[in-house]
Amino acid sequence: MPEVFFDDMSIEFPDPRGRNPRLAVSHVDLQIADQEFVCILGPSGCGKSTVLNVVAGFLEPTAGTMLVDGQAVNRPGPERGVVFQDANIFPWLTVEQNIGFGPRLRQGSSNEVKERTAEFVERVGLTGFEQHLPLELSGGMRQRVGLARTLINDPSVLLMDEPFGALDAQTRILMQELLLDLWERDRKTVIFVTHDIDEALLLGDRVVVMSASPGRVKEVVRVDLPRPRSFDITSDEKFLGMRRHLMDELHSETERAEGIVA
Amino acid sequence: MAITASGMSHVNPPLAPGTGPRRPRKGRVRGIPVLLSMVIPLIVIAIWQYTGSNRMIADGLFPSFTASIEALSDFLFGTAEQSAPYSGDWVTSVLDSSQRILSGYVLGSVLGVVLGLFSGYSKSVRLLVNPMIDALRPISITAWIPLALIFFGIGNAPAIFLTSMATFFPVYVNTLIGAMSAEGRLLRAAAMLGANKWQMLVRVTFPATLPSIATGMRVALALAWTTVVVAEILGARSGLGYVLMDAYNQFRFDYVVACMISLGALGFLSDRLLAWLFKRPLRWVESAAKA
Repeated sequence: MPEVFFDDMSIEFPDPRGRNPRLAVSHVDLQIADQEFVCILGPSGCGKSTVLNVVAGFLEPTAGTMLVDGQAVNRPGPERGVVFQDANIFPWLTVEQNIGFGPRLRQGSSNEVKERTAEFVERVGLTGFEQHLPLELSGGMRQRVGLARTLINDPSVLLMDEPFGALDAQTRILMQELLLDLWERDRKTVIFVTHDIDEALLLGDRVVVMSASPGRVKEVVRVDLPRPRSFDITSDEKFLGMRRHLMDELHSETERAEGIVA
Repeated sequence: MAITASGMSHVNPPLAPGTGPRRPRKGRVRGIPVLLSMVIPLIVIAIWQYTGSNRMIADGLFPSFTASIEALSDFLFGTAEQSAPYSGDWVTSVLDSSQRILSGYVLGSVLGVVLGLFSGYSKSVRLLVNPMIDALRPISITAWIPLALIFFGIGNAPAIFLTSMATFFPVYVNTLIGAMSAEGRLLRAAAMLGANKWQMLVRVTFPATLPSIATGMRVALALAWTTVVVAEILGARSGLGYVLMDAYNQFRFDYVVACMISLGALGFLSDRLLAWLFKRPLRWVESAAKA
């Protein structure tokens, strides 16, 4: 059974003025296997984050089905960890308190929780910054906190919503490599939303290309590149070939989304 | 504000010619801010002293600056040569007033924070309590004095009741607004990490509301001082407000001014203390919106 299962799923948003709801995502059929890393690629506004929000439990599909581990989802929970675009960590908590937030909700501040928190602080390379507040951290560090606080809950699916989109190019590469390292440890199921082709190919086992307004699955590309991967792979010929193909796909979609008639 | 000047009083050593960009020369005016900020207070004190010692205002009842300071000193330490009505009574008066203001302020703040948080967080609680509070809020606190006196008689209770009312409304309103605008994205993050409704209230809405609570509590503190003085004038037999009114009845205007000076100093100090108490819990707030 697939880990995440979309069957003819559509999502509509109510129109605040008229009676015609806006169709954001249309008839998505997709199956994501356990331990698979899937990237959803598309122009901005194509509904890729909306798909993620359904898996997270922030939204319910208007039609069709979405199942995680064979179960319908109706609320957010720690088994479906989300890494948000803007880190979205608690500004009044230190690095350590942010990372330990989830376990502390369930177990209080036991020694076990403290040890586990220290372990995840170390995993994302924030040792020495335990007592820092988010306003004292760089964007990349904040995002590492966001990643660690989600991973510490040991989710069965990791949902990442353009998590590195706001970072500068160098930091983004470092974060992508960190994510690959972390993923190699336990190979969680990941759904990673991005509009960056290189990022999708570097990280994913498959790349799901979405078209805009309404969002549909346009194409699914299998990324046949060896693992473990690092940034070096971006100069591989196979990589460049797929990149070329996805560029063309995305370009026409972006034109359509921006209202440019080819 | 002499405090601001202490950091500016040193003079920069002159730059060697040709080293680095030249900055506008401000060295010569460094000492002037201190003097500037003292000009108006000194003029006011001079006029006060002149008009007071020459008995020029209010048929000579308005006391001079020095007479008021002498009264304050007697009020504080019992320094007057002939017996004065409140010699050395300052500490007990301040303790009586402080006890009332502290009880009322803490009571009003706790109620305001708890109710404000719940009604900001839950729409049903808001619908339940908000109309009643909105209806009572526009009534001036001083208008409650007659009822407070028939409810509680003379003494601590009416002053505590009135002070807690004065504190409650601004704390409640600020907490409510803060809690309602607590960012949905942080609540979503908490839910995703496994927080239940109660944990979201305590661990997200409450800390997110803390800056608004601090604002409300600072506004409320000034109102609480006003209220405790009025309450003591009308319904108590001790405290700074009582001494102030009693001195008025005895034509001891030097003591009236001594009480006013004391109230100003206590109001200022309590506000500083509150700001200091909120400093650490609010160190995560980036903007100048800190208490």
